[in-house]
Amino acid sequence: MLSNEGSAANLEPIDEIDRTIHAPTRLKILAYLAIVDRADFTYLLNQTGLTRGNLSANLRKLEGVGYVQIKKEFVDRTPRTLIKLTDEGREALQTYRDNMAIILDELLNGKTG
Amino acid sequence: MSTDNELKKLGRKTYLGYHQDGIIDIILGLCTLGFGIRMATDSVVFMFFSWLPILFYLPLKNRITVPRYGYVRFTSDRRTAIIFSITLIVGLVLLVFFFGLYVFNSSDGLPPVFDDLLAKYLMLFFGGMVAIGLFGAALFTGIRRFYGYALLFIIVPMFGIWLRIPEPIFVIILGTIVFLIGTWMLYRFVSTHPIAAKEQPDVIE
Repeated sequence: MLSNEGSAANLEPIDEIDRTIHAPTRLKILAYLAIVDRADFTYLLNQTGLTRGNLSANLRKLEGVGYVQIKKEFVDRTPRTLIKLTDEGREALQTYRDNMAIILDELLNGKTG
Repeated sequence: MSTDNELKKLGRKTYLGYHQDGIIDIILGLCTLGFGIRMATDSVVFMFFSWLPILFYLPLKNRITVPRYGYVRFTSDRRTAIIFSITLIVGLVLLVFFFGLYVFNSSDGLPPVFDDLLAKYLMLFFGGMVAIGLFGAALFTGIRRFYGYALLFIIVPMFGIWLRIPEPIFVIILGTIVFLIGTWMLYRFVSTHPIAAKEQPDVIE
């Protein structure tokens, strides 16, 4: 049921959905980064349950669009990859959430605007 | 908005998961144990040793928690909560310590009635101070087991006084209980969070 009494649901925000974020794996990564200041690769690996290769590939994609910042450092001669959600990434995630909220609201309740 | 709440819940879960390693409990238990042994032996060396475990907190966290759970730097509000909690506990313990020092060193001391009360309930007073600190820590960090410890730091001295158990003994019992809880938590944490194989590097180039 898309709308009530024939009034068309406003689904325009669907076109504005950021596809980089919309992928479940990347959304998961961004959500886990949004709740911390920064974290390393192991943290994301544990929290998201992704494989190393999958996590790595998705992080590269997110880094490519500027949503995350990846920095390598050495701690006791062991490499550590630190990942941080950028301001741009945080803003994109917020916009995504707002758009999704509107869409879901439209789909479930048929409200406009 | 509900998604904000969901993110908050996720943040809280992550934060609590990071502190489920029992390290903080082991440190608290060892400090209490050291304090009890110091009381029993009247040794200045144990006075020093009772504070020493605090220095091992970060090295243990880096050696045990980080390789298993991952390194996380929490948002500034969570870091502030931790710093505030530690300051509160250390501050209250120091306050009691210097108050005791003042009472013992001053020529007049306290009025006899307070002197008697302190002599009889000193450990309850001390336990109460630590309990306030732990209660504050639980409140600010959201680590609920600290409420239990706060209660323990009041109940055990109360029973100790009631059963006329020598003070050092119930402080040692208290430290042992907290230490054993921490050790059990550490065992559980290590079992459920195995270290990722070392030969697998972080593959981000």
